[in-house]
Amino acid sequence: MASSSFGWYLLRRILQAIPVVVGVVILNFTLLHLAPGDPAMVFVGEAGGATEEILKEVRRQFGLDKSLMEQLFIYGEKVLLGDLGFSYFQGKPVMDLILEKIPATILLILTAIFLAVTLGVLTGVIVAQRPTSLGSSFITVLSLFGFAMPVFWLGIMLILAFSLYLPLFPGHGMITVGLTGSFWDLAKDVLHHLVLPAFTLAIIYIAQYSRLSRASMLEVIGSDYIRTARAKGLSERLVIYKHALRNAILPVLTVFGIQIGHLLAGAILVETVFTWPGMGRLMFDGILRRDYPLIMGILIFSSVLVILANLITDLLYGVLDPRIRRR
Amino acid sequence: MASWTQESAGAREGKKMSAKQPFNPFPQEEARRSSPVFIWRRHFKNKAGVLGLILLALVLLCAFFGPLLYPMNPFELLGRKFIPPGETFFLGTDYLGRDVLAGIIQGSRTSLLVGIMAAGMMMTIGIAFGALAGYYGGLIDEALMRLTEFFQVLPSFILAMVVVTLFKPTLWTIILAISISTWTGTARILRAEFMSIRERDFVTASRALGSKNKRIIFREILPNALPPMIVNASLMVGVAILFEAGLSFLGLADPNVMSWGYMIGSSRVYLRQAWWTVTFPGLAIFITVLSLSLVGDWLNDFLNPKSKGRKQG
Repeated sequence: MASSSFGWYLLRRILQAIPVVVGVVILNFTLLHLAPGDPAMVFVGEAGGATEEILKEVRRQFGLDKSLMEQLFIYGEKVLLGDLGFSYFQGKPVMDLILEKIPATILLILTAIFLAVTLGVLTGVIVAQRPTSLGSSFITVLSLFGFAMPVFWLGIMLILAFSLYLPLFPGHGMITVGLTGSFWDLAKDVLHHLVLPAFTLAIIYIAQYSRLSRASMLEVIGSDYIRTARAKGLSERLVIYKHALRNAILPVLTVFGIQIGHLLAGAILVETVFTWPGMGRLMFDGILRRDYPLIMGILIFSSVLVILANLITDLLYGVLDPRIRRR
Repeated sequence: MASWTQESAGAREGKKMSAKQPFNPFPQEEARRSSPVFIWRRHFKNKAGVLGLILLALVLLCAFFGPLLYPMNPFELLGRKFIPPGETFFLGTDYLGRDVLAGIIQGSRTSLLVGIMAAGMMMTIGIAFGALAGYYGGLIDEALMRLTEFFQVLPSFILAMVVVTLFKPTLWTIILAISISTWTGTARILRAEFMSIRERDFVTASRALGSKNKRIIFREILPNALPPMIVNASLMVGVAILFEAGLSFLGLADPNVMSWGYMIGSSRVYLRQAWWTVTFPGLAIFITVLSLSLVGDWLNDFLNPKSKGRKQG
């Protein structure tokens, strides 16, 4: 019974995501056609050694001599089948380029989220347990800094401090050039390179998560079932970290779903600063060379990624809080 | 106590004399509250707000009078490259021998211009969406909110990057790109305000008097929905400045104007030789956005006293 209701919930959420994906395709198509100049040139990328033959081929492929509606369908079909165009600069399909680079970005983002959520929730919970004005001022100051600090500048300042002044961590790249060794040596090296970029990205979010988890923790701690748990004689640690935290963490999850797009954008800037070989690097190169198919492809890909992440957080929410599914 | 009865009696008499005067049992208290000294004390108690106002005033002074007091061209090669901050060049020179201080001053103009224009434009879009959705409700609300949700899902900074790249980086495309990527929050806030104010008695009264929808929206509801919008505006200027900085850091800057993000992006490879060319523009961004956010918090306490402390949790 429960599993079938969850099945319906899942199906409904997936169906709701479809119009959004279609919307992304339409938006991209509109942007391509609103851009100044010949759409064929835009599809190829400005000054990308676009010979007359390539242009002719592109016109044929995208049906640029047909009506706008037909063009939209051709374009939409291509995108939905995973064809994001061809980067004439790099001589490869855009999808292949993105898939090559995405693991590095995902590693960076997941590490940053892990750091931000653990540190943020931990501070939030500690401050909520002993509500003093000092603790809440600390969180307020932290969130002001997190809001006002440009993430790329923060990264550069961290390089200045911990890579140039105090050479503790490497400030660019993902792995030491020419390094060979066992898997563990390589993993250790990557981890060493990951410290600064991941912290840069995480610092921006720590305050938000701590503010959020503090607020929801204070709310949960006041509820009856926590009083019951305490009355049973459970240890304070068990009450806080097992009973209260599970409910208090739900809003954090929601915010995380909303923030995934923001996080991806932050990753692009951070990767540019640290020459981290991920999607951000790819985007930066695409911008420098005006490689339109590449940057449009990245926009579509990241939009779909955000939609998927939202879907997953919603489903997780459903798992963690069974009340949601019945709505 | 005696004085209270006297005053309220006086007030009652006053009420009898002219029906237009609202009943006011505490005329003295009101006089005290509206005295400038009281307003000063009450609102300047908030130290963070004062700090924000001072910082913001500094940034505005720098943007308005900086170029008059320090008329240097930020693009001109004025000295040797990499001169550290000191007597000749207060904030040093960059990798081409350009004056960093002149760049900061010009950059403050760019940042504020883009910030204010983009915030104005995104608020206009947001207010249009929020007001229509919140006022009419029903199908219009459904349609407009679906569209808002759609734009909310899109990674806004990446969308802004794509728009600026496709339409060539100029100040106007940057402003446009920022505003179409960031208007959704405003729309949601305003929609909620409209939905609540729409049900109030004075709106019903206005409708009963035969006011048209346009008049109710612009003359009755919108003025009452403004306080949260003003707070939102100060935060949005900050967001727009951060967006502009990020875009120009990535090389998506108008090549004809100096901007802080561009200064950081172009000098960061020389970090080892010259820390100052990167540090000071970033500090300028940080101070500007921080001041806007502090002023926003202060305005929030000032305009919505009920929500005091909401931001702290």
